[in-house]
Amino acid sequence: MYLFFSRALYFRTATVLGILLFGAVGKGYGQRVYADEQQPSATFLLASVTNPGWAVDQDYSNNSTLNVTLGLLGSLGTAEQNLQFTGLNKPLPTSPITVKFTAEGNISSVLNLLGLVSFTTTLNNYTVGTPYSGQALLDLLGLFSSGQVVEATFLGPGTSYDGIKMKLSTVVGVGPSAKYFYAFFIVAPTVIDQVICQDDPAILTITNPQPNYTYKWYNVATGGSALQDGSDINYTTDPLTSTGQHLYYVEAIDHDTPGKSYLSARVPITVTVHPKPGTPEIEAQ
Amino acid sequence: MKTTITLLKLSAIVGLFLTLPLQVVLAVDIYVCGTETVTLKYSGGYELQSGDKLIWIKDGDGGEAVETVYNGTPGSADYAVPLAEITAPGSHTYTAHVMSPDPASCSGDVSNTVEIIRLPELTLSLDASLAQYCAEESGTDAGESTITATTTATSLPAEILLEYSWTATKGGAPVDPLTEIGTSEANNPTAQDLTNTFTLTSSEDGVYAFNATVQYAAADANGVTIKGGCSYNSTEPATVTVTPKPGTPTITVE
Repeated sequence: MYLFFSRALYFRTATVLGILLFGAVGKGYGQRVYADEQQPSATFLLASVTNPGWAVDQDYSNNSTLNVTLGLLGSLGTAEQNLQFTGLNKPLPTSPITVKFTAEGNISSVLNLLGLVSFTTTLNNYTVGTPYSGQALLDLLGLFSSGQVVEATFLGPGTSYDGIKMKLSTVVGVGPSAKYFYAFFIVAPTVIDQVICQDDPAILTITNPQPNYTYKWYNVATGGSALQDGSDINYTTDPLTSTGQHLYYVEAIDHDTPGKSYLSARVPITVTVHPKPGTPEIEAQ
Repeated sequence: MKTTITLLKLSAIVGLFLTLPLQVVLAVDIYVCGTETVTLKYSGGYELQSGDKLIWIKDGDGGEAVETVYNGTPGSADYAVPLAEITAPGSHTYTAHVMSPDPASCSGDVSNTVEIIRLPELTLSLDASLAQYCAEESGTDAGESTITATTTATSLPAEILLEYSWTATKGGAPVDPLTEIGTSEANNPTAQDLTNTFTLTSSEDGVYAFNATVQYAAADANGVTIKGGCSYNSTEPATVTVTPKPGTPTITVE
């Protein structure tokens, strides 16, 4: 009995430690961090979230289901489920977040159907950022039809967040349902800030490289043309002649899934350029 | 033919121009002697920042590097060269470059080269042209003796100026002033003189003992400082005896 307890405790401790150390990085998916906790919510008797845990388990093919019954006598229900990242790896404010879902309902217009679905980033299950719904969601998806399983990647809200909530609403006469498969983000690359001397180039190196990842280096925080794009984990700047701080940025692209790529947040690297001392003159006395 | 000559001339000019920096002769900055040492001072060229390090390198890249740190106080990055570093006679060269504080530790370009030359010990010997002479000239006796002080040294640079001084005693008592008994040769202020003379012309009989001292001048022939003021005495005195003229003999017939 004691032995069994000890083994059980050992495995439990190891599992917890593993989760703490590596977050909920999905096996075989590089540095994707999947949501590992969820908070369902549904209007009493009018809506439900079934199999909620399937949206945060290690099987990315199963899903939770959000249902809202037909609106009766004007009473409108909502079902929502927040998927949360509770590991050490949290999304950065600018980390794009990808969700897999579908929605269906007896409604003629896709736009109207997507109008019943919204995604909002959250922090501790409280909404932060702007919801994506209706046209904004359709713009993101490009093409969508009722019941089509799709992946959508949303921009980070620009502020701290640790989850994304899917909300399903209804209108009178429509009882939509939605499936929520998972949510993940890509761990941003880490690069140690550099201190160099004037006229020297800085060599920036990614310290958490991954196979099947490529990296784009920039000198602007958003947009712009990549200074370097490829699997090389090093980027060598031009010789930096002006002293002070220079900012570079890098983002990782996950190519683990054939035909798909997922972007991480673009993170800054500070290169501090110290002045090169001039030529001294010396004399003997 | 003309083209060939022109090309040769052009090549020679270009070659001369390219090798010009190699032909620059290092100028001596200071001479030291004895146990004197030198302080290498930072004299400008770049405004030091507090925390900057000065890396002093002796005798080129192969030499040992010494680090001083500028703390904001003028002179704090100067380097007082330990005697042991420059004990050997001859040339000792130093360069310096500035290194900015950690973590950057940026190195600047190398300074001018400072050359220190440690001068050798001098040995001074005396030799009198006549060990004795008569108080009054007689026969071939010139009535004077020239004492020559001769300096010997190993590897003494030709531009180093030497200064001589003389002392004498007569019968063990100092002679002062010396001009009472003779004249010394003036020191040469423009060229090195390894000898100096004192001409004893005294007609007073007695035993004269001479000593001389040679010392380095304050600067060499080009005005470069010679630090230390080292002086070296003659190893042995030179002695000249002035003998009295014998008295007039009285001859009697008996």
